[in-house]
Amino acid sequence: MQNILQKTMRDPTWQLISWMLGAIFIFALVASEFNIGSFSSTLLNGMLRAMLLFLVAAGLSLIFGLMDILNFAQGGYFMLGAYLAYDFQHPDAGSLTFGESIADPTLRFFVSILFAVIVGGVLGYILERFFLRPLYDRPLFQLVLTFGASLVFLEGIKFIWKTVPYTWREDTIFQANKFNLFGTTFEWYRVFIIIMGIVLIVLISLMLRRTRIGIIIRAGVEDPEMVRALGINVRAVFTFVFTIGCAVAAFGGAVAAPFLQVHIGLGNLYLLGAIAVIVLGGLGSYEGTAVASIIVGLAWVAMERFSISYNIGAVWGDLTPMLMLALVLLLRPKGLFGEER
Amino acid sequence: MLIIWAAVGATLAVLITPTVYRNLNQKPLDGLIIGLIVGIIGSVPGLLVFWLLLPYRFRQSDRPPHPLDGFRWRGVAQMHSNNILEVRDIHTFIGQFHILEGVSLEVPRGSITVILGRNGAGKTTTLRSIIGLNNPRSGSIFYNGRNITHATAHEIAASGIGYVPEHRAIFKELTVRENLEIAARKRGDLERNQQFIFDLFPDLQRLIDLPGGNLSGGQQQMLAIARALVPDNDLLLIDEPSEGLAPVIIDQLMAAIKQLAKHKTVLLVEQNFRVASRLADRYVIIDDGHSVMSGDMADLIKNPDVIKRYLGVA
Repeated sequence: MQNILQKTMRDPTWQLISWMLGAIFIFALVASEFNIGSFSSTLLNGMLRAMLLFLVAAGLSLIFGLMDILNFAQGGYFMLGAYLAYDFQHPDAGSLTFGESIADPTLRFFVSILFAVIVGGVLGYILERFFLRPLYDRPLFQLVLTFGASLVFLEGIKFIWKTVPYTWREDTIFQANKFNLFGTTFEWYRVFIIIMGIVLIVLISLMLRRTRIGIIIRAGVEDPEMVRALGINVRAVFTFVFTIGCAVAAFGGAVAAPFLQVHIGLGNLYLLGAIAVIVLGGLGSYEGTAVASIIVGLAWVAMERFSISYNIGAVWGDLTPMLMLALVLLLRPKGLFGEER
Repeated sequence: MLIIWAAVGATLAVLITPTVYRNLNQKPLDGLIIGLIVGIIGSVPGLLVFWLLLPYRFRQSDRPPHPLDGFRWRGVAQMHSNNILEVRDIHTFIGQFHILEGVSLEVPRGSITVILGRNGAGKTTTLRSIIGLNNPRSGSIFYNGRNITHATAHEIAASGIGYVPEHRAIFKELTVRENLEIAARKRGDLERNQQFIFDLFPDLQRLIDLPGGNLSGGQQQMLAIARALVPDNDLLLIDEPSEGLAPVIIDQLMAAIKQLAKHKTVLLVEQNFRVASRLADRYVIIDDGHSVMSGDMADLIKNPDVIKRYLGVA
């Protein structure tokens, strides 16, 4: 164990990551005006943002790595997950009334997450199987198609839920219970999301390392043609990865709905953040995506805090992922863990 | 089947949705979901009828299943009974470039056949056409009597053809064990054949947990061949196995290929004539996209003019 740790710390990539995290912590401390309560709140919210970014970026990265498709509709799945979870949870609003048959709000919340994941997965399957598959030999068309799909999502959501933003009203057991950290009150729900995100990082990592489908996905990222020549139906693997990627994004939207205002800009906001994450992590690298999510999430929230503390304008927070993306492309175009493509 | 299923489901959904939409206090999403559920349930009778009437031949079990069942094949070829593979006048394009302009060859069962030719003659494209990575536009390829000309690469490979490409194409991020595991087509393939593989390439057993990218060129070549031996392939297509390797390693590889040819048929692409002449029983010469000569290797060795003309070897 000590050997692995020493080896890791000698690796220049991990040294760079530790420098970046150190710089972000110092920046967060300055942004919090050296108030420990405010600092812990920044870190906790940063980790929360990181996990949500990861949920969008994980699918984006796996899909890009395996299929060379930048799925612009990924943000749409995140947004759809948020709308579906909100609507299911609040039968008196929106378009869905099924939720009222479940009286307990906590149970209804779990069912709403499951509902969002299933719908996200099914729509992901349909997009890949019936629309993207005929375009495998035409990469530019795929890009246009996923962009078009993101617009269809947006307009579909406007048609069903209109453009009014929704704010979560119903407290589940997670939101009702709070705890105090250095004088600042937090909902347990946020900790629950962070833990859930970490569990998901580990589960996907185990799936990639320990299962046959994981080995096929990793091999497919390196050389999909050779995987075909081994007798494996790569297209079925593409469909599987695309479906899982979209379901995970919808899951992210569903779990984020209780503390994010559900609105039509949500998809693009997280899509841009996720693109910054996968470029910073290295295109197609799963470890890179997980680490970069944490870096971008923390930096994003620290900048938001900084802009409030020093009154420099709210726009800097949302700009942070894009600024980081520009910096990475200038200084290290292959990202943290990526290879030249 | 999927199209019929979807059509029936979608039609019912479309028919029912407006009614539900009106009845449910103008909640369009509720209406859509109920419509879809009813549509899916409604499509079950259609599915049953389809299953019972149409695909009768798929459920016949009076003969053992063949790996090529379900292929878009055009009937059984009139092949020479001793040939495992026959390629007949194939024309293959890469993009707009006409690479193969009429290649024909035969591979007798249990033989080592080598494809010879100068750089850019079309040797690698011939192997890629056979394995389905560049399907020919015309001509035909028969494997074990079945036409596999337009089958996909994974279908062809799964029918029993192993492919060892030029430059090895091992998965560098995967360990040696994972590189072997991924090639297994059914449970137990690796366990059944690993002793044969490790007898042939003892180094691989020692390096089993190393990433493929950490192996030397020769070890990577051994891994690439070993990978093709994991499933029970009958035919191995090996592209330039000696390329970029030291003479000692080439000798080891040649011995291994000779050994494995006792159990498998091998179709080899090799530019090193010294290696090819010592390994192969038969040869095919490809020149500028055409197959120009074929026959027994022993006859070719006696014909230095042909060797010089087509291979540039004195």
